[in-house]
Amino acid sequence: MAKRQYPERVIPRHSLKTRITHDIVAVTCLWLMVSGAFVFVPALAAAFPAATQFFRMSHRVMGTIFIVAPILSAITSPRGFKEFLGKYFVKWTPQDWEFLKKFVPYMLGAKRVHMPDQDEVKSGQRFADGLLILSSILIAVSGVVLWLGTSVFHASAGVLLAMRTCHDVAFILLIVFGLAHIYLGAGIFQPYRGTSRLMWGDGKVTEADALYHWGFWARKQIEKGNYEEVKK
Amino acid sequence: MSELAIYFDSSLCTACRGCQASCKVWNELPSPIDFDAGKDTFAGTYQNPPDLNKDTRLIITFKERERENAYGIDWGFGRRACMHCTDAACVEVCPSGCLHHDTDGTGFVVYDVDKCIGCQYCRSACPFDVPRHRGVGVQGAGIKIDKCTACIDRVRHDRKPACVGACQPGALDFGDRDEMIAKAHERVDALKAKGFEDARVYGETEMGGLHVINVLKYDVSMYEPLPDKPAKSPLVDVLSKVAKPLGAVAAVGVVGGLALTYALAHGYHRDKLYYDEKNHDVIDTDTGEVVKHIDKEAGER
Amino acid sequence: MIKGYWFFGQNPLQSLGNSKYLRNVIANLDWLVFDDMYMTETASFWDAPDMRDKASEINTECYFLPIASLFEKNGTVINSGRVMQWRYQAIEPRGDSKWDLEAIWLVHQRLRQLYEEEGGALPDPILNAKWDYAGDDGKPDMRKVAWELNGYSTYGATEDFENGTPKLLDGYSKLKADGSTASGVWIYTGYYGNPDAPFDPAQQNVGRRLRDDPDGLNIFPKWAFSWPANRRILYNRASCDMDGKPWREGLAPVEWDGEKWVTNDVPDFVASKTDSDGNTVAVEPNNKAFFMNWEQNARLFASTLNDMPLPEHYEPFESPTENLLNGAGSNPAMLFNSYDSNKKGTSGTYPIVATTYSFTEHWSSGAETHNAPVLNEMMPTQYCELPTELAQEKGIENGDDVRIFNDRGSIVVKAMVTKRITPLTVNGSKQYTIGIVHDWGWANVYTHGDITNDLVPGVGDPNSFIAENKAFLVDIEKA
Repeated sequence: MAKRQYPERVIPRHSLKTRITHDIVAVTCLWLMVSGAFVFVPALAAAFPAATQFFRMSHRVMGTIFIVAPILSAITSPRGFKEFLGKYFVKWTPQDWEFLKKFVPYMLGAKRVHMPDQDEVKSGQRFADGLLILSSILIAVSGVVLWLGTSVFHASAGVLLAMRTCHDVAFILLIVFGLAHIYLGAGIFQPYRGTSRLMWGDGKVTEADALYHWGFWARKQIEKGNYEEVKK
Repeated sequence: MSELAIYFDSSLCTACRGCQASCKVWNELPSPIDFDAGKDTFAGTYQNPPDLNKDTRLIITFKERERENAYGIDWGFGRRACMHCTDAACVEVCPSGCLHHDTDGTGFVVYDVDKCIGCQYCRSACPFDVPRHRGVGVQGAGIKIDKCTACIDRVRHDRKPACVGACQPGALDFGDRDEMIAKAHERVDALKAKGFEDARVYGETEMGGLHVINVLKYDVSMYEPLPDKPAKSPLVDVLSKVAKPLGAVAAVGVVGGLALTYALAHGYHRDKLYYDEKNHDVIDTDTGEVVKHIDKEAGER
Repeated sequence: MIKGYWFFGQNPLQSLGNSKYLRNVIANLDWLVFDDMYMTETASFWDAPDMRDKASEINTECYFLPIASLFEKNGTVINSGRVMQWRYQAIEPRGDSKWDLEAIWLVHQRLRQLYEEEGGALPDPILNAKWDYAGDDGKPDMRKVAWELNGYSTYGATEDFENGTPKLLDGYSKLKADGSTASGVWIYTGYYGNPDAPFDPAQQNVGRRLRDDPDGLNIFPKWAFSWPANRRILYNRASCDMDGKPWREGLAPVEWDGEKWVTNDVPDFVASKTDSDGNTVAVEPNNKAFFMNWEQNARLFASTLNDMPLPEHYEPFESPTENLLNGAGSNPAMLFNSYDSNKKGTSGTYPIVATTYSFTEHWSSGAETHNAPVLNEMMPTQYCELPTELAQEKGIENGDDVRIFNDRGSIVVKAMVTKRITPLTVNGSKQYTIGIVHDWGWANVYTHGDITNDLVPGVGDPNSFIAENKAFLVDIEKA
């Protein structure tokens, strides 16, 4: 008997605006972390003082874009922003807690550990993205105080030291959660292969991947007819 | 070279500001030239400019108070400039190694201005609020530190710092640090014998030992903003001793951990799935098996 | 009848008392010449804030001659310790600026020419003035002027000056009253007295730079020249007692060692004499220490002062109180106190005593030092110091603008309220004093201020003519 051919379907997941906003923030964030490293890592600053000057200047430019882009996005799409918040601030289901508990075993044994179905944004995602966003806000606010407080006005030494400490703490958090986010979101981790198109491509996810990662959401979208058939 | 120090005796100082002027002249630091510069901010004191700034490395501070004594008044003259600490917080926080202790071992804190990246961390770390910067602006490039260097360029040629050379009443001196400390103690003893009971040697042990030894004639409050017990902010240690190693550990840890998961997931494969929305069946497209059935009546989704 | 006035590097309309009156009065002259490096308050008197609106009505012809600074010419500098030092020209004068001497030279030559062409009253002193100090370039040579001032033998002097072989004298004792010698300034004789090197100041006393300090007395007798006769400390006999023993061991410039005087300074008394056989013998210690007096002794009274013979307490021209010691009140020999222009005030109207002084970082009228931005930075504005009690009474705070005024003038300066000036009790009443710095004026390019001497009375000390800048009456209010 010939194998039945099932139609290949994709579900749209991220709007153009979402992707553009994410991509701008991601690129500037990476630039900010590299340029920031030239001050955070003394050996780099000592070895390349001229490059450090350039990176410091670019840090401010990129920082401005990093802060302004998402704010501009939210202002120009208030509905979209509300929806975004609605996806992240949800009541946690039993599957959400199960997912979190199983996450580390899963990472160390993806072939064996099976994760429960998830809603539109996995609980682990909400946690990790939430930390990314909170760290970004912390690093942005402390960064602006450090920048303006040593140029336009003069902040006190105590304030500047405290802001630097916050900036350093946020940087460390961003290293940890940022690297993890890229590892998973860009589909470097084998079980996550194929997800990079979500933010860097057409914003659509295959039905198979959607059912694997966001089961509840995937089935709901298909029932509602929010899918496209991929013509061969 | 042995450790050296600048010595300042506030009891001999006449506040002529010859030191302030000669510092500017030797280091080619400009003064404002716009018409009547400083007139509108004049605060009714001889302390001008009111504080250190990007073009002023040294000022004499003035403070007066009434007192019941032969003169009816105390008038304190202080020498405000870099204290050249042994445990210099500015050196610790400087990311580029611009600020450093003189390699000849004099103990003075000097800087290689080409390496200054203009981050201004030194200013927030200094317990005496000394480092200043020129070129400060929003765009961030070309900001450079400016502070007293103990005229290391003169010292290296066996000359005294410019300020010391200008002092007519001999309030300023320069030489071996231990000798300057001994001289200071002798002078403080003499001042105490004259009735200046709050006279103090400032700089012997503060911040690990300063390379500017002050003889204070009065208590430290007469030399504002000189702190009574200068100390590094504990955040300086957090920033220089904790944050960076923690960042390194975090970076290495996360990369290592993720690499482990990658290794362990080698050969991962999963079959594709398909959802039959009519029958509510999740189907493995390779085997054709129903791997999950959603029981809508039971509330599953 | 004075027609004009020539100022040389002076700023008297800033530094003399009653300066407001003076700058108005000087506008009556036909002409004025100002020799200066800077446009001072004197040189720009018509531009004073209280005169510039009426400047077109002033008929005085004003000439400003730019003058070379001390680094742009050769000559001597002298200090209040009587030490004279030769200084060398380092650079050429800027633009068209000239030495003072050159300016006078050119005017003198032109005057001579006019007298020769047109004649005039009393031409002899002009036409016959000895004026043979030109160098090879036709400009004045300060070294030849130095020969004239030092003193020389007049026999063949005209040829000597022409040929550069003046018979210079090495001390004032060589000067004679019979016309065989001439000297411009007898107290200088010896400063440029080496006839073997008339063109080399380095080989003259005034050009010496030796740091020898015999006995560590800080006298440095071979550093330049001190008039007269290189005597560094006048009346140095008085450093020892009647027996010639120093009052302070190791600190006397002269000392009797039992047989002769040991001198680390040129003795200002008769230390040796020639006996009948022509030998030089030491004069044993005696009581003759002041040889400018005919009897060479000290005196209890002064015989050369206009308000002699004994010191007395006098109140200033304007005083808030009566003189308890002397019924005359202020000095009866005081000059100009009868002039109406001095507008004498009383403490009823002007109850506050003002004194004036310099700000350390400025020199005199500030015309030169205000051009150094570093000095302006140290004190950005003219100020007066006043007691906290007075400030409280008048509602004046530190840094406020205040007006200080009397019938002679009115100035606005910044207030420096301080505990360092306390109210005095004079004859049982509370008396406020304020101190006003004077080194500001309207003419500088970086800063400006008012002329403090507008307030000062233009009276004069009977001997020195100095005005009473140190005590006069004013009132003060917040401006």
